[in-house]
Amino acid sequence: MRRSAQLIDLLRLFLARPSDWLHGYDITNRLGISAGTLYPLLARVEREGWFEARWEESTTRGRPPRRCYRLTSTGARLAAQFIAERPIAGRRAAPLRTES
Amino acid sequence: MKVPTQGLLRLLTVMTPVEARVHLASMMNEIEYVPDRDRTAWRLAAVATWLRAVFGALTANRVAWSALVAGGALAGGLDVRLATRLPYVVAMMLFSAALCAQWPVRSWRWIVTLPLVLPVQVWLTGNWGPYQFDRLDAFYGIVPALAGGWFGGWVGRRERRPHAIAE
Repeated sequence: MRRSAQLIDLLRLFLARPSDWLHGYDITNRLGISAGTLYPLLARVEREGWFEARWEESTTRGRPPRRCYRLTSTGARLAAQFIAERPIAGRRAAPLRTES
Repeated sequence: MKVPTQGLLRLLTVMTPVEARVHLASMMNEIEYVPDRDRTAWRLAAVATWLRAVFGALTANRVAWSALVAGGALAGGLDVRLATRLPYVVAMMLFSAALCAQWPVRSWRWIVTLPLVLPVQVWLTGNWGPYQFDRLDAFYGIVPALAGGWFGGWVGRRERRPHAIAE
């Protein structure tokens, strides 16, 4: 998989909470990246089998289901290896934002 | 404005290549949970994601596009040089049929773009040939391309049916 700073941040975020299901808006908020950057990344990691996704029905009537994402067990192992392999040159890890 | 905007975004989801549809749909649904202040940015991102997915899917096959440009330019060269239209019509049908037979998935791409090669070619070279006085004539390749594409697409899909592969 092609390395990018955003991908590394995304993997770090999920590795920090391996059992949590996260929504797209949560992720953009925590990483400070745009939706246009996030969703192609999610598509890639899900296609590779690193993430699993599910539709979560809304408790509010009339709202569509939300897709949420989580690391798979294989994904967690591969993501940790992937991050450890080689840091992105000249870049410090972005601080992860805490939940609002 | 909520209903038309969301409706248009839903329409984009339907018009998205299958491989990207789930992610675009999840993005569209997420917009409903995004605070108002961020919604415009999310909608723009959804449109940009759709454009990327469509453009990526349409241009992924470089061999096919190269063949299309070469075939279209060859047919166009015949048309500009010869006084009769028959060679161009036959060439368009053959090239369109060949492209659609070889790559029948989203074959409308070849049918739509192949006849555009000639107008682009005469516009770039400045040589309008027989079209000097009726430039719309440069677009008549759409009819043979449609006919050839229909036949080629039928052949290509028939060849790719499971029983055909098993045979």
